[in-house]
Amino acid sequence: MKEVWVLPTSTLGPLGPSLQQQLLDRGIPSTVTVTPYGEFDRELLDPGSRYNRFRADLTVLIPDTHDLLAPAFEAPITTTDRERTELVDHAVARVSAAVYAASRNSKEVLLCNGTFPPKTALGFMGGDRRLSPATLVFAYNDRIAALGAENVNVTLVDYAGLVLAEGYDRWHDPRLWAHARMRLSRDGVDALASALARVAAATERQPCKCLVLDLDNTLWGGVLGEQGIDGIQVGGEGIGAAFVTFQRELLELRARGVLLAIASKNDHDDAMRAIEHHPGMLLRRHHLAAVQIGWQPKAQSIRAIAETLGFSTNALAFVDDSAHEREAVRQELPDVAVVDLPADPADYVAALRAFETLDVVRVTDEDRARNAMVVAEGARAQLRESSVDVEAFLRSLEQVAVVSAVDDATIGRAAQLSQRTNQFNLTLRRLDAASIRRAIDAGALALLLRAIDRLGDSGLVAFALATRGTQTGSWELDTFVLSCRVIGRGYDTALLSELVGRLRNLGCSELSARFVPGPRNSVCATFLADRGFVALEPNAYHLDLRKSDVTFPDYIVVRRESP
Amino acid sequence: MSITVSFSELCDTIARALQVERARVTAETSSATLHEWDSLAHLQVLLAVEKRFHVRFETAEMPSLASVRHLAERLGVRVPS
Repeated sequence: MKEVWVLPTSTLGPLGPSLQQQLLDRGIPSTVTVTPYGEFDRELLDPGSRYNRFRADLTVLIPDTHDLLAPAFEAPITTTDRERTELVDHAVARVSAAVYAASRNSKEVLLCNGTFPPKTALGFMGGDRRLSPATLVFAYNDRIAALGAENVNVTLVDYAGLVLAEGYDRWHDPRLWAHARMRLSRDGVDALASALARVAAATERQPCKCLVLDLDNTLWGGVLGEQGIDGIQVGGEGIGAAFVTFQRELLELRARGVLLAIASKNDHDDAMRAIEHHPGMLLRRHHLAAVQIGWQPKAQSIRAIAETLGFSTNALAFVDDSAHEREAVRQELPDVAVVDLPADPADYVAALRAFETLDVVRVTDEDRARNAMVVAEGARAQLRESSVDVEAFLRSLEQVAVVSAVDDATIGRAAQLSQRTNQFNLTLRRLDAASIRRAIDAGALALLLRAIDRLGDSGLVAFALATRGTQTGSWELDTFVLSCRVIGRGYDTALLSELVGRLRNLGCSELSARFVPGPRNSVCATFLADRGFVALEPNAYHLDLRKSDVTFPDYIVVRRESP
Repeated sequence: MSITVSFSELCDTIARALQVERARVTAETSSATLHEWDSLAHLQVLLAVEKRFHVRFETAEMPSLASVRHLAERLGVRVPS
């Protein structure tokens, strides 16, 4: 049980229960005592005071500049220059004495800096630095910041910044000042409690050491495997600029000592080329402490990164735009913190700043040097096979495959999948809508698969086209593509199984298929062999439908929309 | 926006703000009858009632609202007889 004391210069009693709750929400049980109005100096300086008779674990000092510099705030025009100077000197002396006392009685001390009055009797003359109380607050804040640097157990809280972010008028309630000498509003009290609890938690916690980042739609816009290096969006104006802003924030975190690593499902060489050579990228290979790019599950990549860096996985946080990947990592590695990126990339920075696992209260020289050390060492431990339970994850997704024959409404998407898919593309045939239409008219079977699960609808993500061969009962697999968004979730097997079943109903007895190797489609090189197709010669396969079948994955439910 | 407030909900809110057992808050309860209802607790009661029932009290009326009956009257809640 943490003994917490809050010493404000005005009434702040309602902060007590609110702070106690916020600390508890962060796993810190506490008893919070808030000293009453007018007791700030006496409680701290009188050796016989209630505060000094107990030893505190955490002391929060909230000397409000509205109180410390009251004459300059309330009567800026009538306050003389000399009075202004004395006010600041006196305020700094008061707070120095308070910090000195608190840092001796308490394990940790949080010191709030002073807030600025946005409106005073000066009205539009507020910009006059000789009259404005803001000038005094700047001077005062400068001087008390030194107190935080001098005492190892004193942490400076940027209270002024908090009030700015929340809005001065929302933060304050003049009625309560008149009624009870309390300056803050209910909302202000709650926002302050939450911020103080965040800082208190950060002083105790080991901060996150490494951010593991996805690539597609996380560091750049678009899907590299579909759009190519020239098609992804990073840099320039519009959405590309949002990703640059996000990368700049990541580099700031790196400068603060957070290592950056990549875990991406992509073609390794293509992805490295984009990182190293795309003109819009700020983040380059030399910023990265570890890289895992391939088709393995992300949990496996994260374990490998932890091993490479010599951390346990609880020192890592995972950043990915895909709710599926986040869910998979949450299930497989519950001790890895997961950042829920919002839908709009322009909001990514705010999400990162709200992510409390990254909170630190001070940056050490060692923090600044950490990246250089890790990268210089170049330690790349051998990856170990991890025992990730992929099937349990897939089962938990409650996946549904909606399979339908291509029709006029969907033929455009079928063509798009055929033309854009570079990775999971068996034959690398590029079909336009007209040629798909001609094939269907000639009796071909064309199927689309739509992927839905409890996390959402991924849309039409797979397309297969089988054409009639020259001999009765023989068919050929002309095209088989799967969007890289859903690779590794079993939809490839689902579509193949469904295709084979329907072909059998059409009187098909044997299906021949080819794998055409290209620069990027190695992900599906063994797909046919793994599903029971027999290799007649390299990359040419055959399935005898009278003897064999392709088993539908039992963790996907099929829905048929048309015969 | 107007919301219908029941007397019992009002008492719940007051009891929580005062951190006392619900049974100790009745139509007759006030800062004079309940020693926990001191000036700091009164602030908690006012802020909790404002937030819960979406009202805003005037500075002048704040001191006079230190009883269940007065708060109920102010919110237009019928006090069970």
